[in-house]
Amino acid sequence: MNELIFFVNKVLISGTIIGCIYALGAIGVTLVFGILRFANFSHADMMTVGAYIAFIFASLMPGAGALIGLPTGFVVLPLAIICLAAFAIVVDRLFYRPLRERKVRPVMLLVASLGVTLMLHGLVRLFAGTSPRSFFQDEKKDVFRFDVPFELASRDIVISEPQVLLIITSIVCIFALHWFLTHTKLGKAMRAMSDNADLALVSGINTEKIVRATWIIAGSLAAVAGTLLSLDVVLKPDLSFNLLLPIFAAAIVGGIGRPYGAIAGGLLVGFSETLAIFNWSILLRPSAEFLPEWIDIPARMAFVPTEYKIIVPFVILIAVLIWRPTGIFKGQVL
Amino acid sequence: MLIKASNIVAGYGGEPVLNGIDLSIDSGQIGVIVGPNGAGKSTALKSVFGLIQLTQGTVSLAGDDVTHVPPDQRVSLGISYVPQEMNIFPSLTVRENLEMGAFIRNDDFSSVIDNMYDLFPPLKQKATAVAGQLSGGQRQMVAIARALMIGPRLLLLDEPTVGLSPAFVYEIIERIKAIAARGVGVLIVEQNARRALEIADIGFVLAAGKNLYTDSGENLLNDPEVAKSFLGG
Ligand SMILES: Nc1ncnc2c1ncn2[C@@H]1O[C@H](COP(=O)(O)OP(=O)(O)OP(=O)(O)O)[C@@H](O)[C@H]1O
Ligand SMILES: [Mg+2]
Repeated sequence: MNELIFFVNKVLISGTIIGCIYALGAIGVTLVFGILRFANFSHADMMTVGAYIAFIFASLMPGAGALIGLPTGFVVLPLAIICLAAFAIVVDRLFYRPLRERKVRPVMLLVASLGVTLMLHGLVRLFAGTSPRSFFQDEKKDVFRFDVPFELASRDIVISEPQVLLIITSIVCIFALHWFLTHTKLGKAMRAMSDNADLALVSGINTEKIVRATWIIAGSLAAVAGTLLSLDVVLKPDLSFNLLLPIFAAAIVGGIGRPYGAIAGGLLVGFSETLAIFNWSILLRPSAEFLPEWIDIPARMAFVPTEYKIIVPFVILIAVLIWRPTGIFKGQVL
Repeated sequence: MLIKASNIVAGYGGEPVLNGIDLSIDSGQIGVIVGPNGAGKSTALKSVFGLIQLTQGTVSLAGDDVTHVPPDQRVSLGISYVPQEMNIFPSLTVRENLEMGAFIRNDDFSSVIDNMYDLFPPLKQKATAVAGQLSGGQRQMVAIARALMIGPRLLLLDEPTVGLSPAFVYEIIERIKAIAARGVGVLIVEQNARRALEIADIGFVLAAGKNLYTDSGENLLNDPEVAKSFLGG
């Protein structure tokens, strides 16, 4: 029984958490691709910048969270969202729009986004240094323990407050995005432009306005993902750069340009990772007494050692590109 | 004249594709552009809509010079264009396609959508279907209906019947007549030249980027030269 609870904690909960982060990141990447036709490599670092913006607000108003009984980092999230959405538009004005106006090929925009990511890298280190920081210096991180009502279960199912907030916020974001894309004029025009940009122009759709809306959404989601991730772990300059590969894997698995695919892809990559690094011998151990003696259950039996878990999205990415390059939801072929 | 394009010289950067063509129609008229493949028919339509830069010539809409007006602003002036290919939003529903056609409208256009369902009854049943999954004929209806959503003065159609079964060709041609009867000027590029010239008030025969013949549809159909070279005898 304890083994099963361990599985729930290590695989179900961890997988959901990281899956949500990947999904939020992948939606941003996929929306930008759908509208602007380039793979935005700076998206992961935008998440980091969002987390640092939230950290600045949180340090400016300590105790803001205590008033409502939520972590301060979470309470200031709306401010971080507004700032990062504005920041995304500024970045577009400075770096991407001039290229768009010159009608360059999309690969040029991709290279520009690499430049942006290096710049953000430097900026974060310049202003915040390299040492890790915690949102919970002066605050307690609440942890919920759920007692499992079984006699044999002495362990609890454990989930922290930031994790609960992360899951709830992700679900809210996804439903809000779905509503926006299917029920508002601007959202439908976004889907239209992603479908057929030339026809959108011919229909009189203001494509620059759609581009702006795309950056606002991508920036907002990056702020949410970055901040919530840094509340769960710690805030450091390479918070989300390492997530670039799994996020792109998620976006491509889901079918690039397809927001719902990105959600499915994010969860798929997240769960694959936690399943791959899970130590399966823990689940097998209770069966040891029923097995013949010559079968020895090794102490560690994971598919992939934890420190190599980046292999998982990499393998998924390669497999998808070979066997189904359009992804589950039939997106654009890159 | 509703639309008057004079002495258009245009192309795609290299040698000009159009070498000084003239096109003009009045409100409620149907103008048909015919000619062999590669004659520049699609290019002529694009230059009327402003999708390509003109090296020479002028375009005027109801007397106003629109030569340098970008295409999205021509939509606001009442010109709608249906491209030859990729003329729908495939992953949007039929209704959403129509709504996108009405993007520039800020009024309540639900009655316009109902008008489109009356004009193209199959679209009403398929309103919530994804447009990319419709039959070729129904897609073409979506494409034309999308363009009509702004209530255009001038409708530009590039090969609206290409690849359709004879029943659908008849259906679409009948609809085009109905649209023109409402006072809309319609300029069509047509592969089914004979069928199209039958409904044409004016026909333009293009070849190698030049006007070869310009006359009423009836006269062109009866001209043995035109029949021999462009209408398959
Ligand atoms: N986007 C483009 N870029 C470069 N050249 C083009 C482009 N589109 C068309 N052309 C060239 O311009 C010429 C005229 O093309 P256009 O499409 O106007 O012909 P068309 O009369 O519409 O032919 P079709 O009956 O095949 O549709 C052709 O030689 C074609 O190769
Ligand atoms: Mg053509």
